[in-house]
Amino acid sequence: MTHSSTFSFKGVVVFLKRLSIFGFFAILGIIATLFISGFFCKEGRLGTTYIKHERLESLDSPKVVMIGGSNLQYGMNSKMLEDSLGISVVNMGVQQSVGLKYMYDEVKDHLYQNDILLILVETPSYMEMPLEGMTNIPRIVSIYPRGIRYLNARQYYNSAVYIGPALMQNYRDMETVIRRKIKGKPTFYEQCDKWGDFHGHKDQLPTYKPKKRHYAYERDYKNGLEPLVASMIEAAEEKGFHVLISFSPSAASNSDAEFFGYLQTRVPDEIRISNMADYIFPDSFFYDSPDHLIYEKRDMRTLKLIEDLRAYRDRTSEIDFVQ
Amino acid sequence: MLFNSVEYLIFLPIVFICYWFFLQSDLRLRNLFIVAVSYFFYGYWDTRFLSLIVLSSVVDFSIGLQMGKTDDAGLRKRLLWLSLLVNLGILGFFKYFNFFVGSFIDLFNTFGVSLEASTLKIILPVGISFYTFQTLSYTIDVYRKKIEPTKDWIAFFAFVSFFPQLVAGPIERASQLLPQFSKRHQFDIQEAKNGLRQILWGLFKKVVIADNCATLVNEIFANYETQPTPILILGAVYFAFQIYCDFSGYSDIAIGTARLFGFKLMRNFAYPYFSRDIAEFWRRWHISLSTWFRDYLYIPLGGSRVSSQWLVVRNVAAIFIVSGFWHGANWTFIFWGALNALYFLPLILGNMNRRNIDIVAKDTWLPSLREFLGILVTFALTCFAWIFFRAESLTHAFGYISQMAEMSFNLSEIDIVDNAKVLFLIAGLLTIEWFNRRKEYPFENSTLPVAVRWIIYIIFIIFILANGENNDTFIYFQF
Repeated sequence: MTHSSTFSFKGVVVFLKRLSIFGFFAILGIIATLFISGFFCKEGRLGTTYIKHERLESLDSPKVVMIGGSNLQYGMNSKMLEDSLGISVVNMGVQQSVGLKYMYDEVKDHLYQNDILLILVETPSYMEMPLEGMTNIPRIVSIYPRGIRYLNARQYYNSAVYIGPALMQNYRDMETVIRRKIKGKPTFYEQCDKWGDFHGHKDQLPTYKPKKRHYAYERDYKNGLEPLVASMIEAAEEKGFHVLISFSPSAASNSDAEFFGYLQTRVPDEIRISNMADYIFPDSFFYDSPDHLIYEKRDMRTLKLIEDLRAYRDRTSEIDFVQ
Repeated sequence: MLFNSVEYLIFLPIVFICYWFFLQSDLRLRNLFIVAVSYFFYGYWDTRFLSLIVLSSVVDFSIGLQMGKTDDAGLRKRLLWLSLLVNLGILGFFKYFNFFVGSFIDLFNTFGVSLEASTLKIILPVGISFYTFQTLSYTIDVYRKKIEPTKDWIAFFAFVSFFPQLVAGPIERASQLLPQFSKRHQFDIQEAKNGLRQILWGLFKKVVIADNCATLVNEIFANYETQPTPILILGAVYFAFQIYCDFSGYSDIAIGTARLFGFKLMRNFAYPYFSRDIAEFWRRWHISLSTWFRDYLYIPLGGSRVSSQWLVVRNVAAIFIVSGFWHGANWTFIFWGALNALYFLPLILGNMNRRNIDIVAKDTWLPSLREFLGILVTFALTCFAWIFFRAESLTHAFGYISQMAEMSFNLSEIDIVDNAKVLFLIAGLLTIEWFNRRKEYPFENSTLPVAVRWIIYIIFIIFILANGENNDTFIYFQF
């Protein structure tokens, strides 16, 4: 049944060439759609990105720039912090884990002499994968296109892999906005103040159900946070700003004592301003995840942070411009 | 491996390139490659059940050879019975063992005799009903001397395991598919393009329409006790489109994939929801299974050319009930089959079952009022039957129908946006299908300008990408 080799590859090659050209246009179309969908998401969960960047880029030094995820958007009273410390506050937290790498990259060019970079990321974000942003990078870039300049090769790759889910998330965000408008309720964006802090959880009951997280401590920490913090410290010394690390709140049932103990010892002492144990709270303090404090507890957490900053000031006289 | 997965997106181009660039000089090597990649495709789920495909292939190949060597009618019949015993025995054990044990126990319990329930934890091998019927068609056709038995075991193994249609059909006949493994294919760029378009259309139906319908269907069927009548009606309608888009979507991907490799598979769906009566619906729905039952069960029983009306009733009931049972070991499927038999009987007894052969409104844009009403009534009857198909038990199905009859119209708790989205998608599907109903599938041999076509394809790809995160399995895999 063997035949002589008379098969012509020409047709297959032409087919593959045409398919490649189509693929090129398809990719362009998909990217364009992502950005168009992002344009229509400005009233959604990530819409405050613009406010935050505007503050970051317009405020004079000294200022406090907080980077982190949703724990900052839901569980921080930026106004109270600003009034208490006597310096401007920029709260960069949005409800998406875009990764510490991206969070730092988007603020680093706007940090100057005497500014304070305060790292308040959720515990999983200390690890390698969330550091790179995973699924949320294409979303944030679609909503804030200037953010594209901060992407590295791996984040471009993640964006390509997760572009489908990003499109769907953008669509869902638009859908939520439409739903709320139909019901005459304010959108996510409309429930945020000028710092981008969210007030929509006021008087809402906690729905958080305990959940365990798992980490691969040593490997992820070594590949993830350690080199990143080292590069931040180096940049801070060069430009004269201060890098400080505190902790995001965490639900007690979620607390993995071994993990927190590990983090406490690994975060460099010279930049750590808090004791991690002070940020572990009862489950009833949390709204819908182990990182989201209920509205009524955000002042408690903010006061604790103010106390930690002042204690650090007194201990080191590094940030003596803080009230 | 799922068609709607990243793995398949990597698998398909690799197989395509190897197939066309390296394997065209040697037919046996090409077929061996098809067997290998098909086994890989299947084994990606569970390698244990590959042995069942191999066993089916070995048994039917050997029996076919033995049948070819003898004219002894008795021996040929015994060989056929052996094939039936092995194939249906495997199918029966894996698919129906627990059902029969459970039903037996229930029956005794009804008469007050308490029996200990002792069922086995049997996993249903994916696609077993499909490839079993495909191999059986070979043996039966050899027995009937409609085809010559093949002596090429590699071609036969490729016929049984051909990956595009291995797990959910179309159920191919040996006379149609097997010869395609014995001839060399020339690459046809038009066929390949049509194949890709058909894959795109199939993915769109599955990922965008079926999976979105599934979300609402699951919610409505799970909480039917609290749902108002309009939502329960919509639940049945959504399921009608879920199962249609899920299964016909799979078939389109399978046929399109086969086209990329130069193979022609049979059409499995022909716009069934545009049918004007139930007989037409069954000529347009799961065609490969309907014709299988027609050729290997209904006609051997005598079909409609029997001496009495009673025998016609028996034959129609048999084909529909067996078809229902083929779908799964549950009384709901049997009831669904029986209900369809009931719909079908008046047509066949009144000799009206072949009134509507051509596609509706063949030479006009719109159907006549009579045709339109026929489509509506057929669709309503079909949706009613789908309730039994979707329900987890007969109690569940009757509960759903009773709740529907409550005539509750409190729609205050209804999610308008979700329902509007799915209804919009269904309306879009029906519009596209209506205007392309004379084609095998809507994108086939499109005459639109290239730029317009590409824009349409890109829009469909975007829809698929955005909806692709669920990665739901296909409903018919469980059958």
